[in-house]
Amino acid sequence: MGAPTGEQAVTLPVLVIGAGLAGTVAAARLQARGVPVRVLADRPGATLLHGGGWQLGPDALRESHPAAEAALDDALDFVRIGLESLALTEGLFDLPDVEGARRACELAPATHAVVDGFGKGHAVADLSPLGHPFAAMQGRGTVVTVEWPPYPDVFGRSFAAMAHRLEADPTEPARLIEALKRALKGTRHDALLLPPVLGISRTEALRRQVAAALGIPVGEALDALPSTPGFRLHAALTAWLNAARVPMQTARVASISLDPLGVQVGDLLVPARAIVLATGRYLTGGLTMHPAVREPLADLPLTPSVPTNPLWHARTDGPYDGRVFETGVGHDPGFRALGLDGRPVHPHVYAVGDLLGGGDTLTQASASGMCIASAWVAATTIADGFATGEKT
Amino acid sequence: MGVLSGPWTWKRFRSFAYLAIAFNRRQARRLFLGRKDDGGVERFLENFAAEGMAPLSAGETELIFSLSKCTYCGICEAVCPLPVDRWPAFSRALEHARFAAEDLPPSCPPECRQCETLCPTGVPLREIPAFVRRSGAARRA
Repeated sequence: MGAPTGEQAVTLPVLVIGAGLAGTVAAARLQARGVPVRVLADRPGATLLHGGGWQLGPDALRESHPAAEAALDDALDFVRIGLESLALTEGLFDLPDVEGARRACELAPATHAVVDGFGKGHAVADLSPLGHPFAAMQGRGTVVTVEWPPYPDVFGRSFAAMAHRLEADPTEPARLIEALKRALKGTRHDALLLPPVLGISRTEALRRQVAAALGIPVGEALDALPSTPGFRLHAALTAWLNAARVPMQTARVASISLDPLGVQVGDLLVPARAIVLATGRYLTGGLTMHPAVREPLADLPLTPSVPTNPLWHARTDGPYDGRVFETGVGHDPGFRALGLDGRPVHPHVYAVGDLLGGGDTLTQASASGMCIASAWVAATTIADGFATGEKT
Repeated sequence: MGVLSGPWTWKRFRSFAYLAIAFNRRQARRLFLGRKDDGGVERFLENFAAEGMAPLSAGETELIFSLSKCTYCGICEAVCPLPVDRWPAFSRALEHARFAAEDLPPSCPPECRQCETLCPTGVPLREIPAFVRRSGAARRA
């Protein structure tokens, strides 16, 4: 099998590996530009752990990824319009405050700002047995104990489990409203702050239903993992890809081949016009730490480079500088993955999202912005090349 | 690097000498008396099996390694239809397996793969109940 040329190259799809935030944005952008695209993923990845805030971190992007920073506004508009056109943004880009108005939420700690937006006259629902961490943290409002849910099987689990339960059972919202009414009986409050339990994909409808029944505005705070907002984001991204009719396949990619260009799935080499690596970092296997720090699919060099076994290094050879959390795949301004010589390993292999090195997403809080902007730029580069390539 | 690096103190030298003597004595016994096994495995199990240190097959070692990828994010618990709230706990602490085995829910519905498809680190969650039952039974025995 030779290198794809001519007509064959035009009909081959771009393969996006990974269906998290970066993979989804890349695929949706390519599809919007009319480029045949296919998503390969075996699970949603770290997007499910998203805290609900959009950690854009433009300052961090400016320092380490100028190409992403320059495109951030366009990229964000693309995502915002894409999700809004499907009525998917509710509860994602921002959080409802007491007035029902939307408060931009750029960082996860902005949850506190939402809580601040509530006057002192609001009630904070303490859902037994999980309580309400933000109520204790803020020391504002009045905590009311709500006897919900009545199920032993979600006791001691999480608000996310309650949110799943509330959405799965159509009779459950009415029972929650009843419990809230009982808890608020005989008291006067301006508003009600709930933990994030109002469903996964029908959040706004549920919120309105509860608010209408209680006669006061209802808001939701964020929470620790497992994060209800993470589930909501994942549901929205999946819905976005489905609505855009992007073909998705559940597949575990073993490696990628540069010549001919394609990805290895089991015994099968799936040929591709271009490949977008959106595989994340250590958590989701985009980078491995055992037995060595490396990029497992194409063995791309990492930047900044780290000792192949950083933990061993840390124990034996003096202080460890912590760069293992900053390392990742290098990229050119079009987000092609770089090889050892500092030039793209292949003109059609791209790396986007958390897989990229140069910033510590844990401390710089730039993960979401990085995913959106890099995926958007890479998809645009591919689509532009595709358009000119077809003409010539 | 390894056991041979570091300063050679008298104590250390003596330890290695004892090891060498024991090794040679054992080899000599096997050679001249034809004793293949001196009951070391039985004695080891007697001492340590109660603490969960029973021998594992290669497949089980592999499984334990993949279970250790758990980050305690709790996503599996949030979507699990079974009344069990300790999936992450089951993935570690082998010595607790015999207690956990008594606490296990009925086995997973065969078609439900919610937890495994959503686990960000790819922990083979559905294999945990069978593994815990198996090793729990082994610990009790």
